[in-house]
Amino acid sequence: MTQLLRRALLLALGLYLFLPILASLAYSVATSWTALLPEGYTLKHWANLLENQRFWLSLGRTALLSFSVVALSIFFLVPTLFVVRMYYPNVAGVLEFLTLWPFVFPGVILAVGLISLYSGPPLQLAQTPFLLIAAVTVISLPYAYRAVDNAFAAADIKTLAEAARSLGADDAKTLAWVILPTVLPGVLSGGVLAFSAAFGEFALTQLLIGTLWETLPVYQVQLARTDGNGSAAITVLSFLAAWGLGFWALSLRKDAKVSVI
Amino acid sequence: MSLGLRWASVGIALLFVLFLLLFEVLPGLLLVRVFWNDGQLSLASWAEATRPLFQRALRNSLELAFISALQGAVLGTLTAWALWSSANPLVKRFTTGLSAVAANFAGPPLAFAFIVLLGGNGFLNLILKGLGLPTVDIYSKEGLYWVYLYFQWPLMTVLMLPAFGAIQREWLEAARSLGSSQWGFWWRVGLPVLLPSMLGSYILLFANAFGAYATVYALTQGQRNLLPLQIGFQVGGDIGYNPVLASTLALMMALVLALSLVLYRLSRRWAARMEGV
Repeated sequence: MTQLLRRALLLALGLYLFLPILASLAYSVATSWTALLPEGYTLKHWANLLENQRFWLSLGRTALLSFSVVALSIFFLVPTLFVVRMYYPNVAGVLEFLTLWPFVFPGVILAVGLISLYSGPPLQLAQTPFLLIAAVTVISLPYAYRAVDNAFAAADIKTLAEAARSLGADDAKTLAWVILPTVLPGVLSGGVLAFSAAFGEFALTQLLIGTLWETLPVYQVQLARTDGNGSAAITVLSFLAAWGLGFWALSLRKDAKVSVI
Repeated sequence: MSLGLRWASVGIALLFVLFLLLFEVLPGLLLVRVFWNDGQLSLASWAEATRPLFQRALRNSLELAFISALQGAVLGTLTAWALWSSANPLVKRFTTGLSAVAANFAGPPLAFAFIVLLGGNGFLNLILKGLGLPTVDIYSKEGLYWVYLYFQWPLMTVLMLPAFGAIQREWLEAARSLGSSQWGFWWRVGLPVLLPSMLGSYILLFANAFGAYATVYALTQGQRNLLPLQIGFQVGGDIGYNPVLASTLALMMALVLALSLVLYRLSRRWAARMEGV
């Protein structure tokens, strides 16, 4: 009885998570689908999509956005967490507080605040990709922060630094050869998570810049109005990207613990 | 550490704080400007934001979040139990990883995947029709619950796993050898240990659904009276640009989320006591 219930639950979850992707995959290669199974199969929809310049441009913008967010996150987080862990552990609480902020001010609310703040001088950033990059960095911060912070916590860098120094390493050597290699998997994992969050971001993009700087999810919403099969192909690509990045990030962590907030 | 390295890092940290002030904290805090009009306190925008239309939007969003979180919580807790009691480490690891990844998947791709599955000519609806069963209308209120369940269910599963980890399998065996039934064990021992985590996770699921914008926007092209969609309309919709109203509605939403966060922190403290971590 227990055994049966357990199997049924896990099977149901598996079906629930895979069925939508499989259906989209089938729809993206179907000629016409009005009965139980598609009438025939074709690669026409994929070919159309891959020949479409708008698709490539939106994918390029999404990649640019995601890489910028990762670069900015790592540029800020690694030195900050390094000095906080090493010299100023008292201010760790402030950082923690700042990473909880997007919980109370999610994408929609942040967009409203940013628009009213940056629509005029002195900083007229509204409707520019720069504001979008900054905003998406803020929203994906909790993911990246947690991964990088866990890496620093697990490494116990203070002890590591003392050990390296007592062995005669100077500071630059300690940082380059001892501390950075130890926290690298965690930093990479945080980067991958931030990339994934930025890749799928829609609310901020649509509200801050919309079709002026079309990213992949915004393009998909436009495309879905006229070409359901092409939109299904983008669904498949998005799933592959999110799942691939997600499993990659998980595999970079030594502990199997999964934290959300 | 040499001073150069240390102060360069401090410099970047300060830059980071400035960045967060400009693009995270101030945009949130300055929303309260809507209560000032010509240097005077004014509640005019609050009156506008509590019109029946927006009251209904708030109520609809609360209802959606309550119910969608409840569905995810029930299924996710049961699934976490199934993983806890499963003896197969491979199944455990795969399902945990899958859930962690799926819990973060939302937005247009998810909405369109469900339209392919449960839209007017959706694949599952065709099967249901063929079997003479009632079909699902993905664009209806109930339809949205099906879509949200896609991330709520795995999210709850992932959130509840650590709590189940606090329950030792030997306890169950000990209780059974003392004559307790399986149900008796879960009722008297399991539930009290799990309850704080269940509550905390439920609150996260609630906030997750309450603030969600992308998925429901893509599914209905924004044609639904929910608070996040109304806010979006006021800043970028076809109806017009009304930043004051948008800010007031955003504050209303932030208030609900802030309350959720406080309750979540309290439940975490309670959970730490119960689970002994």
